[in-house]
Amino acid sequence: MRRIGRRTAALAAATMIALTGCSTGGGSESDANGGGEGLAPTVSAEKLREHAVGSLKGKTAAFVPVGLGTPLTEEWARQMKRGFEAAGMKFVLRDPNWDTARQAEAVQSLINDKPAVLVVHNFDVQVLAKLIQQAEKAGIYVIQINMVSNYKSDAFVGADTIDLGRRIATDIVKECGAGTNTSHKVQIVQGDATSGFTLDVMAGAKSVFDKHKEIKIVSTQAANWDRTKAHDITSTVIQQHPDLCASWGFWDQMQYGAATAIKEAGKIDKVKVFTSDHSAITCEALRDKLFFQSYGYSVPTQGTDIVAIAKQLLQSGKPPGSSRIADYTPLVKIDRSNWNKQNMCYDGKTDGLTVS
Amino acid sequence: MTESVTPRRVTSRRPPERNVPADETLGMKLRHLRRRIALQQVFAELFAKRWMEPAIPLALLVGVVVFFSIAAPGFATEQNLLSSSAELAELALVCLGMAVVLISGGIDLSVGSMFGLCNMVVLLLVTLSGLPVIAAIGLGLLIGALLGAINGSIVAYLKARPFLTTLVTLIIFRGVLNLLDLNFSAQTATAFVLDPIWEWFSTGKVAGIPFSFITLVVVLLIGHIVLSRSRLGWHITAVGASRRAARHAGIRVERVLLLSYVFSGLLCALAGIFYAARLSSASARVGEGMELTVLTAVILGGISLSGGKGTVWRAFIGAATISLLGKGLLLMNVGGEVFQTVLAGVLILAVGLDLKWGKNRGKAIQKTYVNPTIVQYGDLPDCRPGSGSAFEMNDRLVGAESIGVGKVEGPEDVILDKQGRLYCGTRQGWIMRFSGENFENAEIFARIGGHPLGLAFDADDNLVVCVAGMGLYAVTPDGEVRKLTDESNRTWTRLRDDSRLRLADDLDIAPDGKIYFSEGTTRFEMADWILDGVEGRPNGRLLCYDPETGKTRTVIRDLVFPNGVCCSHDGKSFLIAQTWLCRILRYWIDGPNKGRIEVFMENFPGYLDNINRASDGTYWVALNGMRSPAYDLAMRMPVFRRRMMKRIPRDEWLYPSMNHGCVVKVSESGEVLETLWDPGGTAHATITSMREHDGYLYIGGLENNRVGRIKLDNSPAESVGAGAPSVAGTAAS
Repeated sequence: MRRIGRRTAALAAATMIALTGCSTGGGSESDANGGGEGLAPTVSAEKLREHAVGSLKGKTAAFVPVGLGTPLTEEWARQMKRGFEAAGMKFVLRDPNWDTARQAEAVQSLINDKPAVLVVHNFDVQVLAKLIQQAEKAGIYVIQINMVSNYKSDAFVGADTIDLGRRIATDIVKECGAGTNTSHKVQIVQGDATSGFTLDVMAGAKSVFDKHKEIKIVSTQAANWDRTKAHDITSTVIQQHPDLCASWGFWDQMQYGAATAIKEAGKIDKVKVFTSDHSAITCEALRDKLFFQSYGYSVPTQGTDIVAIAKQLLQSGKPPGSSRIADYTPLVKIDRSNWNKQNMCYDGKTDGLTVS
Repeated sequence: MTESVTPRRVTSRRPPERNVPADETLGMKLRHLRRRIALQQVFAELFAKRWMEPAIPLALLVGVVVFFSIAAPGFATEQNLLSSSAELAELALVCLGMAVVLISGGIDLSVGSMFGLCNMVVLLLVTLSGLPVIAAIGLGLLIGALLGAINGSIVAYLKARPFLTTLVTLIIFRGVLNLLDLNFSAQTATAFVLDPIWEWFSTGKVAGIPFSFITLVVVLLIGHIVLSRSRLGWHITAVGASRRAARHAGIRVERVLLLSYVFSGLLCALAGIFYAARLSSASARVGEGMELTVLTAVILGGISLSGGKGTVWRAFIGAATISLLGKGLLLMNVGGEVFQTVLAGVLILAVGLDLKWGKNRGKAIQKTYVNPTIVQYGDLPDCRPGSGSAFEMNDRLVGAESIGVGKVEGPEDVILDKQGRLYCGTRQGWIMRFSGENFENAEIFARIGGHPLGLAFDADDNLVVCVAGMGLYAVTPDGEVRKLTDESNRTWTRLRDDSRLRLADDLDIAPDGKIYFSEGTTRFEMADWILDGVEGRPNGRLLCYDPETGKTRTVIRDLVFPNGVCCSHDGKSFLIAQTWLCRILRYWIDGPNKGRIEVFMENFPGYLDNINRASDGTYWVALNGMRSPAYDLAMRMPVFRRRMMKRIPRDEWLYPSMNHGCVVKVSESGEVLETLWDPGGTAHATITSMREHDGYLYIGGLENNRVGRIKLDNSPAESVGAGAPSVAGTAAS
């Protein structure tokens, strides 16, 4: 008993130290650029320009994707670099190369550097939650892209993932649901299970599939955005369920592996491959009849949207952490009928794309 | 003018520690000065330090820090270093686990999976189970230990190979992790934990330093003590160095192996908990590929993959290098794929350098350790028969009686007790005693060890012995061995630790009972004592052991090989024979000159060994080898000797000649009175000591297989009996 008492005392002491010694970051400070909202409507064009340019010039914007080397992240980085640099800002890019811990390190080091704007592409909903909070406290506007965190920052730019899930699920029900002469079996290939994208798409899907009990989800596995993993998972699933109706993967780059596996099994004519995103590989896969359909979410304009929102935040005069903006980019269905239309797919290099 | 010069010379407490020729030029003085500075010696002694072993990894770490401090803006800031320390802590803890397993001779590839699994489990427990955070953390540690135990029991008790075992468990643990990820992690994702203990683990700071780093430091300290000071730590190292030998030594190998894997699991769990608290990322990806980073780090730190070698600090150095390298590259906006390449490059570089370093360090030390200096001698006295000099060769030792032929090996010194029994040391570490009328009864009087050299009886008839390699010992009349001392005060200006006695050589006892003894060299072991002669530097010292306080202190530092030590007849000074300088110093311990050192005699034709009192108020001096013009010249040319050592094998070097010596009798005023030679060197070639007793002179030799004895024809009859104790015993009697 005495021992337990002593332990409790030690625990209490540790807690006390924790409470008194704990510190999580710098205090918040409000932006000191005057505030665009303070400008009178009759202000001269010159004054307005002065305010707009002054709020941006020489400031730094930083971008931390989960990893470069994919058309998606390269396209974002490209658009942001162009946009920010055109506005007289510095653009910094940190590449954690698909390593959760390194992404956290990168964000941590950026908080130390204090850029004006920080754009993060969250690995999962938790990993950056505390750091985003810290960043906003340190006076940095944080914009999240496509994969949201549990901690909502000033702005989110990306696909309306819940609606995306709903739409694709609805399409699947149309192809595999009641009234179709199929097995109603559906395979789902997720990204990281804790990714905001996965969670939201799953939530959207659930809302549809709950109403269509005939749909049998035969496999829900996380391929962690990895093409090889998706391939390996799917080649097993297709063996167990040769009568599979649809395979739904949450990202075109990853789902391409699943489609290959289905093709290898000789079932690509029977199994309909659904996915989202619209990098060049989607159009090629639709051309080659690997994919059945995909949804584009206007990746090229997401980059420019971020630049626009960052400009708005910087000129607003509002302190970081005080806004909650969500900019959902348009969803466009791409299938074997329309893939070869203009502006459908991006390749991370070619300019001139608007909305697809 | 003259008056003012003379007293100054008299009051100088110490003559130069070298032979100074009468007509020395300024140029020569400068050459001596230049040779005194021995940078090479500093390097050799620095390299010989044990803590220099991880020099390359440490240099690399320093290099990384310096490079990024300059190249990467924001690297050398307090904020960055503090946030880096939290990240480093997690990696270093895992590295430590890996290090322990590597030291025990295994490998743990499953560290990344254990780390990831513990991270996940703790997150699940904290967010979903409703357990108190502290219990969840405890449970997490327990699970880590359990995972380690799975590895450990398979490796230790099922005798599976560690590489394959942990490769399999890497996959299994990762599989479990994936399963948990699929089924539960989505639920943990949306839960925010606001427990203060959890917060403390994630962002707690003690004096501004992250709690995880503090924990790491504590774990490092404990790990260091366990690994280097505890029985378990030694067992782990022993098992890793040679499992079979460890088993033969009675170590429970299986248990040690099991424990090392449990440590690894436990440390992975601790790291996983910190990671979980810091990032709350319940992802199956966590810890993926970590085993490679960790292995890279520990190898970089210099922990041997073949086991039995490594410290916690090396693991830490490796982890810090990898961690800071990654951080620095990140700050320099270098892409992730480049990081892997740089890591590989650095690893190849470091491992290559470390290999070269480890391989060539010993060789480099050997090549540079002996560091010759200038030793000058006066004109070589002519010893040839018919030369008419004081050292003229004769045949007085021819026909000396032999005592204990073949029974003794290397009686460096000889002494007789009151009963007339003869004692000598041998290279086996024994003290032999010969008794009987013709010393026909040989017995081993005491077994001390080392190589007993100088001998003396104290007032209570204890035999005090200088033992090379051990120190100063006393043997009671019953043959009981007692250590008097084996250390002195350390010279802090020297890199090499000279507190331990390496080569206690000869001793004598002052009237007040204090034991003065010489240590020939503090730089070379007994086996290499001759190298001290090639070097010719003042590496020796005179020490004094006070039986009353039991303390030993260094009386005179920086002497060129002090060998024989002998208290003068009046008990006021000590004579110190210096082998390589061929001279005798007089050191005053009493009287008006107390503390002064002066040159008593110099320019002997040979190298001096022991010195003892004769019965008629004079002294016996042993010459263990004779000088030669060629070697005298070589001693004047340190560059030549260095070149010799570099270019030709050791057995072909020029050494001081040690194959022919003699006994010289000198007067209290420093005159050579007579010499005793054995011209053919058939019985007494190298003479290292002589002792007068009852009208006989007993002769010892370091390389001899006997003790010699001759009757001294001119010894005064009246000194027999009464004179004997005053010769062998203390000067005061």
